Amino acid sequence: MVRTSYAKSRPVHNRYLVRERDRSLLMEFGRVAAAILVVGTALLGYTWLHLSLLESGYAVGDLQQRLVELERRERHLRLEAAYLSSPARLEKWAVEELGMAAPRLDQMHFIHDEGPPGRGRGVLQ
Amino acid sequence: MKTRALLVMIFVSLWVAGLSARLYHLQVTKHDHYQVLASNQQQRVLDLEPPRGTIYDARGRVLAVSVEVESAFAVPREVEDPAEAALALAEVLDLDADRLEERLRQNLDFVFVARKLDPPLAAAVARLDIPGIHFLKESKRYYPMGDLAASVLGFVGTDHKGLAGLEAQYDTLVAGTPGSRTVMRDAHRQTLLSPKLAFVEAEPGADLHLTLDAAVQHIVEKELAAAVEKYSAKSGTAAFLDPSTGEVIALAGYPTFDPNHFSRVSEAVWRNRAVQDSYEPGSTFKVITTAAVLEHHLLSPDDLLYCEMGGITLAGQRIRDHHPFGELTVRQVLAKSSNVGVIKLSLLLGEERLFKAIQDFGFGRRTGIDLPGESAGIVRPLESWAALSKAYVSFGQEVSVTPLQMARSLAVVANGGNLVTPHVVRAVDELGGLRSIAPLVGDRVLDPVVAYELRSMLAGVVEEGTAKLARVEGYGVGGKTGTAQKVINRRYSQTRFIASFMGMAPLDNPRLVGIIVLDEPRPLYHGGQVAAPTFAAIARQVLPYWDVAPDRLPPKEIPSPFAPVSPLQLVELESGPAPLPEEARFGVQEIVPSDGALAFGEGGR
Repeated sequence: MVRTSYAKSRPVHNRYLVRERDRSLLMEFGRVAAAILVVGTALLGYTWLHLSLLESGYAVGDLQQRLVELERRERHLRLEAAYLSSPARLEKWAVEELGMAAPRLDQMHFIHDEGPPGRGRGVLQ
Repeated sequence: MKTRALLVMIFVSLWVAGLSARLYHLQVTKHDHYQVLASNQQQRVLDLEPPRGTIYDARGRVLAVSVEVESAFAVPREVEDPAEAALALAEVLDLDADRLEERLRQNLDFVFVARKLDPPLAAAVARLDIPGIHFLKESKRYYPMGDLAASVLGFVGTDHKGLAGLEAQYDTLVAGTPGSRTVMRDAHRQTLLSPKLAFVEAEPGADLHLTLDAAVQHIVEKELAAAVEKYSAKSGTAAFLDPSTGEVIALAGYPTFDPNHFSRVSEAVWRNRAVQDSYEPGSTFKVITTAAVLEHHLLSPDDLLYCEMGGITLAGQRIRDHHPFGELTVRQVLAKSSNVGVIKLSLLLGEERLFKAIQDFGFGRRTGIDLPGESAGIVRPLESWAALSKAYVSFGQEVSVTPLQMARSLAVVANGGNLVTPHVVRAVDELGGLRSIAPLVGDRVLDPVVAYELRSMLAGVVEEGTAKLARVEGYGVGGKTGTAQKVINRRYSQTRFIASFMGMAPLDNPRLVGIIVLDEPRPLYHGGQVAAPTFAAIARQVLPYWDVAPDRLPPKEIPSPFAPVSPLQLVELESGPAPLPEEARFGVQEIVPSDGALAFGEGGR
């Protein structure tokens, strides 16, 4: 230390700096942070929801398309089944391919005797 | 320093103000305009075509169904070589190459190449891989059983609208209601569904459940076709009913057509002959006259009539029988189909009661069947009957009926006397559920005892009368034959006939009632020779298919419910018909039809 005639030795009292807390500033900071968190979370949530909705939209669209395709296929299969079970086709197949013939009356057993499907029996007065 | 700062602030403020003004203009003032532009770019409205309802038979077999198939179209400006493309397509699709090339050279954005292709054909076109040829899906109606019940089912046009048969009759129900859906499209043109966008669901068309049984229909069509071919007839018609409910079991016509390719035949083939064609029934109509006589208790089945040994002269006209009969019971008159005998029944009955019976049996008006274009037949009003109309009408001339009307009249006899309404649709399957259509059983037109008596008389026709070939082993069959002369150039032809047989089986509890009509069969032409065997062939197959047990029993003695004939009536019957009015007594003259299709002449058997 340079000592001059002007120099005086004085004790220094600010050896320990004491940092005083500014409570109002902290509160303000907290509020801002909370607000940012809320708004940010909301924005993120909205974005996430929107993206999910888009994803679901695509998924529903694909499923809808698949449903339509499956229904179409089912109708094609029903059509094919109907074609294959046509009485004319079955009879031709049975007679010509398998060599079958209609049974004679004495070869038949009558069990139900219900008549036409879903109809009432004839009226005998 | 301060001035510079001020200038910057003013500049920034003006920039912000300008930006805000522009934003306001774009987002507020022009909001609607840009909203529409954005929607057009991002959204698309899809038309949702409702699937047309399926038609099922009585056992749930599919008779008509709509499926989506591919239609090929071209974008002409994308087709690099129209000539080569047309040639390749024409070969696969069996089209005219020149006309196709002409279309591919048109200055249009879209032209159809071929619509509603069957899957193998669509695949073949796709394999050609021609630039500018694309596909779109369209609904196509298929009739998987081909020509089965073609005239009943009808068909639909290219626009999927019903044009004939049930397809036309129930078009509003079967077609359904179109819907629409708005979808989002992203930059990759991928579809994105959103619940926020408009959606009107398409209502599918109602399914129809018919009373027809495809197997029975097949049997009827097969036997009818065989009869038409065997006897070289111009055409044939068959109609079969359940007598207790009026449900139509089978309706067939031959020649027929495949509704999958309906345009390949003439329109005349499309019609439903059993419902739309009328003809003079001939002797099958004698059942109506006989029923009226029994209903009014004028005679009993075993009372005797003198049949004048082959002919009777009324109002100066000689009406001949097909065979010289002497005394016959009423039962035998029907069994042997004596014209003179039935004329005497009509004289006994009187024209008013005969006319009323004809009306009661539903002739001269539509049956009310749920098929389009039904004919009412022709029954002239009583006031315009000529002096001999009563006689001619009694054996089926001067009246015109449809096969369905005749089948219904026999159903009255079979079910104990009730007039039923024929119908083809048993239930409609709509969104609200299955809606059954209750059978309409109309007025009682015959006493049950009379109906039962008539059944035994009709059995006599088959057992010992003109319809022996209608016998079916194991089952009792009743029926009546008819051989009606056709009117050609306003005269009754001696060479062209309409042969018919209407019958019921099994006799004790009729389940099957129907009629077979053959137009101009050759060389045989009697109803008992050509139509009766066809009925038997059908009954022989259908009854076991229905699991109906044989009912063959020895002939029964049925006590007559009628009072004995009065002595006065007997005298009248033995001495011939009542005296004719003076103005009617002129000489025997040539028989010429009076007007139109109706004419006088000899009856058939």
